[in-house]
Amino acid sequence: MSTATLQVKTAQELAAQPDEYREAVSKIIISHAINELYGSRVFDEPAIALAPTPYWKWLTCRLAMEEYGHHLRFFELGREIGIPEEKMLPEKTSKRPLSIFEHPLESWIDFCTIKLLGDLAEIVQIEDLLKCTYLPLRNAARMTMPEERFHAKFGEDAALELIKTDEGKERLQDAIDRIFPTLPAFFGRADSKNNRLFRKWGIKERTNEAMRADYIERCRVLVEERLGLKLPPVPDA
Amino acid sequence: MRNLRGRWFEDVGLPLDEPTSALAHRLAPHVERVLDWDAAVRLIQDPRTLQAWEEERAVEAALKARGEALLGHEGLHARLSRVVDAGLDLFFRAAERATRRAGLDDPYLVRVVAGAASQAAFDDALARATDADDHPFVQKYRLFERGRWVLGKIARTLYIF
Repeated sequence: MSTATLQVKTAQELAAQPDEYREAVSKIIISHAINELYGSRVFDEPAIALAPTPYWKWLTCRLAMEEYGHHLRFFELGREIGIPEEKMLPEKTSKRPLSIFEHPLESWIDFCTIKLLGDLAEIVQIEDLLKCTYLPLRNAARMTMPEERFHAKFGEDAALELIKTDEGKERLQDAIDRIFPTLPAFFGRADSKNNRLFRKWGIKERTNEAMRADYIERCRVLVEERLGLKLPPVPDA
Repeated sequence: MRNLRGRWFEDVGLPLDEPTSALAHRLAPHVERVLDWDAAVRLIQDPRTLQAWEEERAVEAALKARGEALLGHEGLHARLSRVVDAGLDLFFRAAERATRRAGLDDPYLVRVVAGAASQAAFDDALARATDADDHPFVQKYRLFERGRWVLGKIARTLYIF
């Protein structure tokens, strides 16, 4: 069957698909379930303590819960198709976390920068799932998107507030210089076998390189044109 | 686990009835009612509320340690996760309804309000997991259940919306 017409509507239908397709769907669900939970634990939860007032602390509580909710959404999707729970929980898997999750969160400005640029990376990834051939995954992506957009907008609003002063500008530029270089790796290797598999089965549309290039360009527009700051050079893969 | 049934934010801004007032006075000697959303937001942006916030986090940490000793790390966290999961949608919708009722269309405020309810539910579950059924976290949560938003404390005054 051509992937142009392939549409798998339910977990039951998925069970009848070729092994390679099921494996590809499982891999992408595992990756999202793990990364959403990592993000919530490594950035959002610690940011509650760094937020300046109860207003921002409660907002951050909610952001942490939304990221956790995204994990839960992918986790349930995984459970439905028989992925063992331990494969979707960071503390139970031997899979190494993405490098961005090893970045220590030092300040409230760091957190705002992660929302500004990190959540944009998440948006680019989720956008690619919006036409996914496995419809439950497409639906999960559709439901996740508005919240991810809000998180990125929160980062952008915070950045726009910061650049109103010279000191704020300087601190934001410093955070961007430290955080941005860790982010392009989020899109995986250029010659990724997994990505080939995802595209073959219409789970993703673009190559890792195409998504990375799109992401970097969107960061450039945001940082240089909208904020008037400088995007640091992209590190070699 | 306690069912998350309540009048979430339905009575914000209204005068306090006798049982609500009595409950609030168990948390602080002085209770001040905040009258509208603008005043509520101003209060939670006031750095003077931070001291009480930090004190509550210290209490939370002590309860967590006690809960883990009683139920084990996984046991406690499974219990807390159930509360968080149950409140995910519920508190967001309630916050959305309450702000819309007041004619506000503010996705930030909706999240702030939902975050406050989630935190109260989490702290209540934590206190009850350690058998501290009469803990201030439990009293505070009851105020949320009664349709109120407990905004914070400055010195000996509790501000409630």
